[in-house]
Amino acid sequence: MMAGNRLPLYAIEIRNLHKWYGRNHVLRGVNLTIAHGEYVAILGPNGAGKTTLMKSIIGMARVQKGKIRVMDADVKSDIRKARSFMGIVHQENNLDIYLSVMENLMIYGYMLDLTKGEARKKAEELLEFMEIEKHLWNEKVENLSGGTKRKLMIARALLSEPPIVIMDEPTTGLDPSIRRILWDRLLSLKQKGKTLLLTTHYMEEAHYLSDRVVFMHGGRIIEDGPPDALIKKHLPPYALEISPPIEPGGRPHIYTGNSLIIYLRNPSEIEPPEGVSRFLLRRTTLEDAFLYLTGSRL
Amino acid sequence: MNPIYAWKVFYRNLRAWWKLGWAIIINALDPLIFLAAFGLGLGKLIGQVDGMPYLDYIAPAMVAIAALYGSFFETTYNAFVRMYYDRLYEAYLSTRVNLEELVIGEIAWGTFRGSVYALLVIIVLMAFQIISPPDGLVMLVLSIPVALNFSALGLLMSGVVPSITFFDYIYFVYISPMMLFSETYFPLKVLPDFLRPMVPIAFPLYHGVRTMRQFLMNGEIPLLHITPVLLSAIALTILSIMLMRRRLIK
Repeated sequence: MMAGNRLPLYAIEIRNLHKWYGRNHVLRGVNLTIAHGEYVAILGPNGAGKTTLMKSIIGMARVQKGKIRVMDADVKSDIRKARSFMGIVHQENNLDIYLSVMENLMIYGYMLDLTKGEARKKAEELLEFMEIEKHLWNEKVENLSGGTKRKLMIARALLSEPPIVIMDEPTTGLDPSIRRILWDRLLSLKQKGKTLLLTTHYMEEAHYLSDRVVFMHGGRIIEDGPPDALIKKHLPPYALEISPPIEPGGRPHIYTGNSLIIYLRNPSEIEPPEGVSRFLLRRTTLEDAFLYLTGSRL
Repeated sequence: MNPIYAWKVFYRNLRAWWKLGWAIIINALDPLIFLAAFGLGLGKLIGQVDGMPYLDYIAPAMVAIAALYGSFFETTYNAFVRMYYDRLYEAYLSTRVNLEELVIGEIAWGTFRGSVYALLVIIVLMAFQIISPPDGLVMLVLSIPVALNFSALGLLMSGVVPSITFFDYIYFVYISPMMLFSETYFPLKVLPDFLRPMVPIAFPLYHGVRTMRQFLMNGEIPLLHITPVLLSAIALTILSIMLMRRRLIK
């Protein structure tokens, strides 16, 4: 696939990407590189630009300024080649409801240039890999549960064995048990050397799956690094949620509604004051780091 | 633009359509109902038009209308559902298929459906010996550019309408008058002077009807009428690609 079988330096490389919708400047000079085999989560509140960034990478949003390369293909000038390296799972269900589970995979295998035999073999492998029960294989998609539909979308994205998997909020709206199963499946893809780029609203998901998280806010990347290192870089290890708020005393803190979160180096730094209705001590999370940096909830 | 990928989009539609079973011919009933009502019913009162029995006069128009129905409704309502509600275009564009191929595949599919509907009407006309089988075959071929034109027009509309209900307005404001005033049920000469020159410009169906009727009357395919249909189809296809790009790749 690559010239001389040498991999390009990055699986995905984004340089100085800008995007405008009318006068709305939604991406403001995004620079991001993703190494081969790396799992990266993009986090940000609504309107941060993460979906636009994902759409730009897969060629569903026009690159107006800047450059995106997927493996050795430029997204703007050779989108077909760029897409040949990517398996894409969109945010919304876009399975073919008129067709059965197997037919969905066969038709998309056909659109991905697989022969009928290859498509059938890969489809069966992937349905087993995604733990979709055999009795559902000939079922119409509209009769499937939300979790099974999502599994099928992931199976479909893996049909052509792409080196890169792109997922826009892959587990939104799913119940926690299904979410865990999907996480497990996605992590097992890592052993196959896949690169994963996902957006999510769930901090826990980002922390669990990713080698690196990227915080986006206002169309910019404001922080980028391994989840634990990011937390450590910005905040002490303990978070104390207290309501009604007290004087934080020069410690890092954020206000969330009627509560205050104070970040502490030592869990016993503050004794419970009298008259508080909430006094909860816990470990600092990725969400704390995000809230502290942006002041926005995800 | 690789036509193989356009075929793959077409093939997906064919597979999904085939699964609908007998429902696939339902839309073709509409022109047949009009044929029965106007030809057998009203035709008995009218007698002859332009020197031919009224049923013979409207028969070629029914073929053209069937081509319009099958293609335009496929690339408006059905294509819009695939694009907007089912989000299938998003899924296709995540494969090797690119936008031009998607649009061409959809227009080709609409053209196919229009031609199938035209064929169903032709079969009925042949069964009642209104046209001969060789003439029916030529009319089927002539229905292809007519269906192509309206298939492209439909997809162009799908590229711009904000919601599916807008197709109802387009039907009432444009398609319905076109079906009535394109020399389908009466000759152009009976219209007021100021309306007559507008019909060939505004209504491509007029050229489709004239093409079919002139072929049936004297065995000739009038280039004066088939050429604008083809040119319009090409222009509308190019416009559809542009508008779909604007809609899908923002």
